[in-house]
Amino acid sequence: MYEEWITKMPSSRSQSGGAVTWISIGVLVPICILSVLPIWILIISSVASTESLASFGFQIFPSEFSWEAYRKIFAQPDFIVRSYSVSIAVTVAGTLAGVAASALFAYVISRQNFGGSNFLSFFLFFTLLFNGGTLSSYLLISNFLHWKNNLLSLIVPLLISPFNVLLLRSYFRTIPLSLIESARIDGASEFRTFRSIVLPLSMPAVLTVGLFTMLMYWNDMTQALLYIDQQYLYPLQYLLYKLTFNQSIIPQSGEQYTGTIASPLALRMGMATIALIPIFFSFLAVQKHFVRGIMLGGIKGD
Amino acid sequence: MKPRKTRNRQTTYQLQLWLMALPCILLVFLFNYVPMGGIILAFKDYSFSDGIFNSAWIGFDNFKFFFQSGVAWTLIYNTVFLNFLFIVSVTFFSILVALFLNEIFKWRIAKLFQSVLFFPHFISWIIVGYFSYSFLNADNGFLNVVLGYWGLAPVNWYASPEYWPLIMTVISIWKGLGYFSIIYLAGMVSINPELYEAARLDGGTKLDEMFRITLPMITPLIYINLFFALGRIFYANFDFFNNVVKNNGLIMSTTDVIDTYVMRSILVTGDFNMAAAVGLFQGVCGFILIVGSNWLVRRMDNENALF
Repeated sequence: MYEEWITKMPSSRSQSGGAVTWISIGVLVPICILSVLPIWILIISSVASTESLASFGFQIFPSEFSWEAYRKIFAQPDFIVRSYSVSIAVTVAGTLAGVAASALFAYVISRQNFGGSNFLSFFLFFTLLFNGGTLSSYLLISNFLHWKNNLLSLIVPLLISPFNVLLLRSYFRTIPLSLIESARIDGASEFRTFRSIVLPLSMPAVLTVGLFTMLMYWNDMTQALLYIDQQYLYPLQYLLYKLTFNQSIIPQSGEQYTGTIASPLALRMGMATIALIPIFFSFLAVQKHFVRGIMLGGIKGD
Repeated sequence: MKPRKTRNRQTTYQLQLWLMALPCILLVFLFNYVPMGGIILAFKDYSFSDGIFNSAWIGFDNFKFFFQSGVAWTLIYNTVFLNFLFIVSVTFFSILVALFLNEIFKWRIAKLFQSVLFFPHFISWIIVGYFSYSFLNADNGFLNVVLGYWGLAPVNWYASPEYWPLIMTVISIWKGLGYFSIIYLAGMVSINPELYEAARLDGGTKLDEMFRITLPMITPLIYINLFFALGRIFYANFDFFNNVVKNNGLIMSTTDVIDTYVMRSILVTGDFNMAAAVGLFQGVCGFILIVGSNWLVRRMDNENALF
């Protein structure tokens, strides 16, 4: 649908009038500038000097620049590397396992000639209607599974998202049943059919769900807030969260450190910038697939 | 002989399918169905030493206490009111942006605009919290710097609850604009171009095209999005509120919502009774609204209904 839209549009509506075009651009440019403004201010403030922040506050162009914040953060970068590793591990494990379990389940309920498909669909989608609340999940994970300060608490409870299963199921249903039947005649097992026929034909949907899942894991902070209190297990987002309350998370490199003191504000903004930059480059790489994914999922995304 | 063999093979296939579904079944059962049993806590006086099953039954006392505490109506009002503001404004501005993007769609710059507006969707709420702090903090926040530049008195935003519905709505729009304008734009570009040709032949202006073709054609899409959002109006986005408001007592009167209250009960006050009662209340209201909104969606367009 997306490709169709890209290729179809220009020719079919090529006569748009000059005035309307310029008005549209005139409206959209300021909106885009406003949209970028907070990101710009965050990044530029991370290289503002202490004096500049103290006397002039956050500015579009700080009156004085200083790399002090980054020098201080990278004096002992272990804690950032540590949190990055936790986030990457959780994201990779969660995405792989989540997509695998979702795709398998979606395949099963996409098979309309399978007896259990209606029951299983209901079993999953009922969870969208009603849930036991945060407290019950919290008690289950901390008191019964004893997953406090265990990375499993960040991964396993979030593996299945009904919307992702729904998206995969709709996509799998577009694969003709005759293909599946013919695999059977060749003696393939259901798993084999899934792996060698259905999955390769559904890569756009699988990729999309993978991206959605990755973003969800990477940005999640609530699970860590509930279940993690050891700093060596902090994912990146949670490290940033703790930093807003507690500056001492950044190691104080006392004696050997003799430069001017970096502004605590610049330090925080520097940490946020360090977290933001990889997201920016990943965004450039995957946004096209994301847009297509939103089209695939239709209105049910997010 | 033959039918029986076929039946055996059928059974094998069925078994294989059940096995493939098993990991997901177990996960959903453990993390979605088992916690539903936890709603009994709403009718109990939970004590940590007695555990869930041995704590004493107290009927509806938790609910009584919750609704008499005066907190309840503030929480419910804030949750529903703020979500309503977010839904309406995000929808309105996304459609507006999509209309303009649609006009310049053949231009390369449209893709640039779309990317710029979409990027906030990727940014975590914690970083959004950093943004809002750099804009709003009283001593050196960007907004106060701008106010000072214009010769206006600075505002102590983090101590002025009256501004927060507006502030949070603006942040919502900023975060959701790109995502939802893509959805509406997709609806707009799939409109049959012959409709526009016909309008042009009849001497219709650009505005006529916008208001008489584009908007009416995407109206079903708008309704469906609105209904889904309304179905979740009792659920606040915890990450959003937690990172932007940060449990700031001074502005809580307009920003405390059900989800932040429940989390605070779990992590800070340890008042599990209240958390359970509020959670169940939210679950029941949510259930009714989701079923209701799905019914509306189904009436409009069967294909987009959830169930």
